[in-house]
Amino acid sequence: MEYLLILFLLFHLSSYLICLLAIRSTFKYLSKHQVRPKLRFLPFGFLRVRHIGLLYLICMSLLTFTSISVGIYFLM
Amino acid sequence: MSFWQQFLGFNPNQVRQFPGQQPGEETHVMTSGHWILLTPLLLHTLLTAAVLIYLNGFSAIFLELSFQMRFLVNTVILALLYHYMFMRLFNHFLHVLIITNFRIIDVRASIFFKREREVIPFTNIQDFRMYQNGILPRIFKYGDLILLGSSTDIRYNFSYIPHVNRVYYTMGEIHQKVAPFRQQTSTESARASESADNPRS
Repeated sequence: MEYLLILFLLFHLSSYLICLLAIRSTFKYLSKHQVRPKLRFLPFGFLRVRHIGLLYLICMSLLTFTSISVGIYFLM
Repeated sequence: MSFWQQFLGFNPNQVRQFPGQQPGEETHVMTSGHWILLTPLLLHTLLTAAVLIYLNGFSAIFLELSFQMRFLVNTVILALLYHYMFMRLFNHFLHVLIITNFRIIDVRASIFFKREREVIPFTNIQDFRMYQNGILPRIFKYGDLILLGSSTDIRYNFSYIPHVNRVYYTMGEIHQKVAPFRQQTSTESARASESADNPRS
């Protein structure tokens, strides 16, 4: 079980890193093209890429930090 | 510049609207695909959410597992779902069609592994067509744009363009403006081919 928990912590850490890299890569590319695409889908018409990026960051941060803290609690 | 601006690559001194923009080039249309392309993503997300709810609420085998194991499985599935959902959305926004007064640029990129760019000058476009067939394209105002090159075998197809009518009319105006240049290039190429056929004359 301990090995599984360590693997679980590593998975969440790497997944958070991938999330940060994806946001960075996307925003760098889009800022070069000065694209401000909207998600033209009611009722999400106000959503732009920056909002989606922020949502991604918030969701992944919440999930990763909860999982890691609970995983460490299980390990102890 | 703040840390976040630097991290996300914002450049306040940027003059060009996209890399490779030529002097005097104006952007008329810059669009990504229509949101209808994201419907499979929505369905997959709903399906995964339904599976998670079923596992945690009704599946006897899953509920027999220890709390630790259930927590691990749930968080891993949720993390994978978030990655799938947001990366598909980002990839959708990275596919951009740019129409300027000189050319059409099709930028196909993905987050990490793909960088493709195709440029079609307006002088090379002989004709273009717009298709909006069916109930959904008419209701949600999207369609296909087909460009025909100067020779018959060259054909470019752009699908799921939002507000395809507007894009078509904008392209028509630009096409009309570059018509004299297109005629000039075609007569020049005809002369060149004639001189190549009769080198002694």
